[in-house]
Formats: sequence, structure tokens, C-alpha cells
Amino acid sequence: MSQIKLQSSDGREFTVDAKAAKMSETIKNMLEDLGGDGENAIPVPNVTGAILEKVIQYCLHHKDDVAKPEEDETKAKKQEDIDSWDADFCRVDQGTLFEMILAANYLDIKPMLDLTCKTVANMIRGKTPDEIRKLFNIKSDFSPEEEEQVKKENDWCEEK
Amino acid sequence: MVEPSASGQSTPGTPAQARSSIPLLGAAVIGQQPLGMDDAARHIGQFARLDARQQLDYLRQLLAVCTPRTLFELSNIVIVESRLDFVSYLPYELAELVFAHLDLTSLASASLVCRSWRAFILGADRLWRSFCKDFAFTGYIQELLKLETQETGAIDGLSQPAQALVHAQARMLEEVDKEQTARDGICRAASRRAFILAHRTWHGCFRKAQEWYGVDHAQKRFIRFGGHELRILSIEALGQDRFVTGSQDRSVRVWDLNSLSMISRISSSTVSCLHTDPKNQHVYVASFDATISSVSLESGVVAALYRGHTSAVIAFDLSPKHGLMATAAHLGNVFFWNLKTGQTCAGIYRQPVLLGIRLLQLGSDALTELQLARQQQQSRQTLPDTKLDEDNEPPLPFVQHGVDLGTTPAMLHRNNRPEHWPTTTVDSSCICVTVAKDGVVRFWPAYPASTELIHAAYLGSPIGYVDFFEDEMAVRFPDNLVVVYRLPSLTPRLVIRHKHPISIVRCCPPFLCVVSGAFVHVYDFQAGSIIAVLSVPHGLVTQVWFSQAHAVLIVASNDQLFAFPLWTPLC
Repeated sequence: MSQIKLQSSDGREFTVDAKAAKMSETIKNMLEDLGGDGENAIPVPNVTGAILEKVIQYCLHHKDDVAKPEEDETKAKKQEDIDSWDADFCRVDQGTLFEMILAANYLDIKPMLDLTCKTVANMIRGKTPDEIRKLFNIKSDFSPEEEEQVKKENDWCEEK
Repeated sequence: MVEPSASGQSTPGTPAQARSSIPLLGAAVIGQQPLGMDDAARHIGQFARLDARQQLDYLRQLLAVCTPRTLFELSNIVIVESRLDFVSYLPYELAELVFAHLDLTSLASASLVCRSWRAFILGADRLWRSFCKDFAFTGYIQELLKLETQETGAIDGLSQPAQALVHAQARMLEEVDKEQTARDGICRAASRRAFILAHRTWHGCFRKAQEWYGVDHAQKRFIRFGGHELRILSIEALGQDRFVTGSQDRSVRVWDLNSLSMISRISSSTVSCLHTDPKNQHVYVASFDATISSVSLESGVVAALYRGHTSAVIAFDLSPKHGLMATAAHLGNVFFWNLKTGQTCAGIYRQPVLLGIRLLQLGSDALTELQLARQQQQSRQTLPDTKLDEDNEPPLPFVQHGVDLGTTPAMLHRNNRPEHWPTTTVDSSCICVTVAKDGVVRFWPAYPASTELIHAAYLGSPIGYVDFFEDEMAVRFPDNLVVVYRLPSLTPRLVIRHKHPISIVRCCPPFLCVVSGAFVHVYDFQAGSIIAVLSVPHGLVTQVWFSQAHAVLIVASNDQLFAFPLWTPLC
């Protein structure tokens, strides 16, 4: 069984290399539970076709990656850099990016979840509160007094 | 490979069906009659009632009839409007995961975006916990916690993110060690000061980190900023922003911590160790020429010279409250001096080689402890014959109170006269602790001074080095073992089994620095966990000192001085 079929929430079907599909723990478990015959498409009810396409793209590119040893986890967390393929892969609009986070979480693809979360974090990193507000279309809802307090607290992160 | 299947097109809800299910809207768009804004508002209301698929289909139709100009303007609006506040959009755990990738500074910035972000970030306990684990500040946070348990509201002065960090640490500690209790009385007295220091450090760290690490922090792990001409043997604090170093090159130098530059150089004799007076006006210099001198830091003039020892003075301690100084010389003589008159109050002769000396002010708690120890001493004939463990594993040094040591001078045996100890005035009294190389700790009355030994205890093995901090002492044993004892009870509080041969141990709370050759291992003074390992480029480390206010570890390597900012874990 080298190929399996996945069906997105909007009914699109994708035929995927089994190794790539098994990067998703969720699909891997489903395959084991269903004893998959390869004929029936596995439903992925929480993910739309457009996002599932991105997920599959990611899995195909990374299916041969060697799993990182656990102890590197903390170090990997600190790393801000993302390799160029991954960076390109994440160059999508915010809505898609957040959907990708949800999909990676639902399908339990840890490296992809890490990558997408890191991408969002990188968007925030080093920005002032005002820049972050613009970035995510957020209005500051602090009262004038709170605003004053907040400004004071800015020293905490902006003190130079 | 990816193959969008044709079957997707035949599912219910195709554009054709959607169009037929929303006739009114379709008519509104397609119809020729001009519409008023009221109609438009009604249509928007209807649009909101459609399901997601129908809405999409409707919008597609709408776009099909838009002019290029409208489309362009629309695209600008859509770009902004499609920006999402992911904190409210994503499930809690996932939003937390995003923030987990941020550094502390960015996180603080993010916590100022809006109320919901603020509440989210400050409440994300797991987030702060991960920082707690990374931080070299465990000691500081513990100090803060201690205060919080003692005087509620002590951490109110901190910014909210800092408070969140402290609370996270508190909960973590509760889980890790439920038996962890607040430290005893002496610490409580010092806690206010510790709090101020911790608070200052908090801010100092951020400032320094930015200043020093700047862009390329990988290359700037330490700063070499000067030194003496010969080996540096002593480093001591001088207020918040300065420190003094003493060296074999016959000089004492004063350094500024802000600029890391030398402020002044004072000529002296060969320095073995230093102490500063509480007003930071004088520095007391013990010398290899058997004298102790008090030198004015401003003028460099010798204010007092204490002469009387016949060999190099290797350790001394001051008790300004009692106007008292205790000195230990190489040949085993201990003198108590009246600081004002320069007269010796008492002299204890022919001690074994001494490593350290300490003046302790005693409260009533400590008195009971000593009384107990004394009772033990009196009934020592009935004590069980404790034998050293002969196993391969080095035995933990144990404290054997009141041992009868064949090698010690006769004086030790004249101590069975406890009534000599002035019990009535004990609250203002002061005892002197001497630690000898053979592992015997002796307690002497220092105020009022007397040569009558109060108590002696054997640490179980000869020792190599001792350093004091407040009411604790860190002792280096053979087999790379470091034990922190409480004084005067001599209860071991912390045992560190180091992996390398040790030269120096220095208590610089919240750290305990253990020096092995060119390496400084920084342990947590409370928990004993290793925090960082630092190394100097060449040469042996001869002394270390940590400035809490500036969060910087000053390392002397022979004649050079290095500054290590302890802002990030340097392991």
C-alpha cells in the first residue's frame, strides 16, 4: 500500500504517498485502526481542500527527514531561522497560515505545527506593540489610565 | 501526487444550486433597477443568514460584476480585514504554542497589544514556566518568592510580566518540592535588601544584555577589561556599582561596574585578602607582610595599621557593630582587635593551619543550638564511637561534635567550663569561627573576647578551602566535594559532587561558584543545580565575585579581569 486516498471536508480527494501521509499521526492511527485497504478514501473532515493540499505538499517534501532526537527540542525551540523551502511554503496570507496551524494540529504533524507557529512568532518578534496591532488588525482597548500603565511597563522591554 | 479528484464537483451545493437557493440576492445583483441603501442593508442582513458555502458563491458572483477599480479598492480592504487576531481565532493551546517561540522581550511587547492578549500572556503559566527553566535567575525568583510569602505585596513593584514569571516559578516550586519552606530568621532580616537587589538586577539584566550582546551576542560572551600586574587574590564589593581587587602586585584597585574601568589605584603591601567597611570609605587589607591596614579609598592614606602577627595574614573578618576584627595568620595565630584603638583584645596561639575565619553575631536561636552542642560535648564520653565509612564511595562529611583530637593543642581541652560563656548578654555577643585545614571548626568568644574555646567540631576529613556568606559556609573537601553548612549549627544544607578538581569555592548568592582550573562552574546556591559553566581563554582562575546589582560575574584569571554577564544561561 504505497498510495492512499484522503478526502477533504469539501469533498476533494487526494492520492498521496503513504509514507508522506503517515507523517500525520492522526492519519497513521486511522490507517492502523481501519486496516486501510487503500480503496476507500480516508475522510479528513476538519480540513478544506486548499489547506489539505498545502499539508500534503509539506509532507511530501519532508517525508524523508530524519526525526530529531528529543533532547534537541529545547534548542530547536530557540532557533529562529527557518530553511528557505519552509519559509517559501509559509509565504501565504494570514488566514491560510492559521488554517495550516489548525490542520497541522488536527492531523498531528509536529514539525509542521512547529514551523507554522514559529512563522507567526517571527512575525511578532522584535516589533513594538503598535506594529503588532497593525499586523493583526487589532485595536488597542486599553483605557487612558491603563495606557499610561502600559507605557510605563514598556520600560521593561524597551529599556536601552 | 496531488490529484484534485473530479468527484468533488458533484457534491451538493454546487454554484448552480447555490444560485437558485438565493433568488432574492441574485435578483438584486442581476436586476436592472437601481437600488437604495436601504435595500443594500436588507441584503446584507440576508447575506449574514446564508451558510458559508452560499456566502462564498454569492461573493464570487458579486466579484464577477465588479469594475477593476472597485476590485482594486476591495483588495486593499480585504488585505487589512483578513488580518486575524490569532489569539482569539486559534484554540488556547495553539496560541500558546505561538508565544512559546518568542523571546522574553518580544513577549513583553506582545503583552501590551490589547487587553485580551495581555490577559492571555500573563495567564499562560506554561509559557512562563519554560522561561523559569531556562533562566539563570532561579535564585532571584526564589528570593522574590520568599518575600512574597513573608510580606504580601512585595512583588507589586515588579511589572506584570515579571510577576507572572515569579508566580509561575512559585507554582513550579510547590510541585517540585512541597517541603520547601521559607528560610530562617537571618535570611528574613536580609530579605528586604535581597528584594531590592533582585528588583534592580531584573532591570539591570535587560539593560546589560542589550548593551553587551547587541547584535552579535555569540561572540561577546565575556569582556576582558583590565587587571593588575600580578596575580589577583581578592575581589570584594564596594557598594552597588563598584568593586575592589587586591593583588600580589602591591596594589588595591577600585573598579566601576557600569563602565568596567578602573577608578583608582591604591598602593599597599602584597594583598592576601580584602574587606570593605560598611560605609565604603575604607578598605581593610590583609597582607603577606603580617599586617592589616585600613586604607582610605578617597585619599589612599593608611588610616590604621594593625601590627602584631608574625606571619602572613591569610584571612580576617570584621564586625563593625562590635568594633571588632578577627584575624588569622599563616602560623596559626588568631587575634581579636579593637578596630578603634588598634589594640588586640585577645590572642589565640598555635592553632593548626587555618583556612578561614568568621565573626558571627548570635541570636537566641543560635544560642540554644550552641548549648545543645555544648551538652553533647560535656557528655562526649557516652557518645557512640562513630567510625568513618571505608567504602569506595567517599563518605559524606559528617559533623562530629566535641571530638577529642590528639593533634590539637592543649587549649582545646580546657573548654569544659561552659559557665564562662556570658549567657546574659548573648544577644549582643559575637563569636568567632575558625576553620582549620585539618577539618576542625572551632568557636571562640569574640565579644567579649576570650581565649576560652566554646566548642569544637570535626568535619570528618581535612579540607581544602572555605568561603563564608552570612550564616553559611561552603567547604571544599577532597574528592571534589563541596558542602554548604549552616553556622553555627554546622548542619549540612547542600552537597555538591563536582566532577573536576576544585581550586576555589565562592559563595556569591544566588550562585555558588566552583572553580576548576580555567573553568568556573556556577551552581544555584539554594538548589545546588548547575546553571552555567564559564571559561577564561587562558590561565587559571584565581578569584571570582558576582555583582547582584549588575548581574555580572567578575572572574580574575591570574592578573586579568573578565566580566561575564549572567543574563542568559551560558552552558
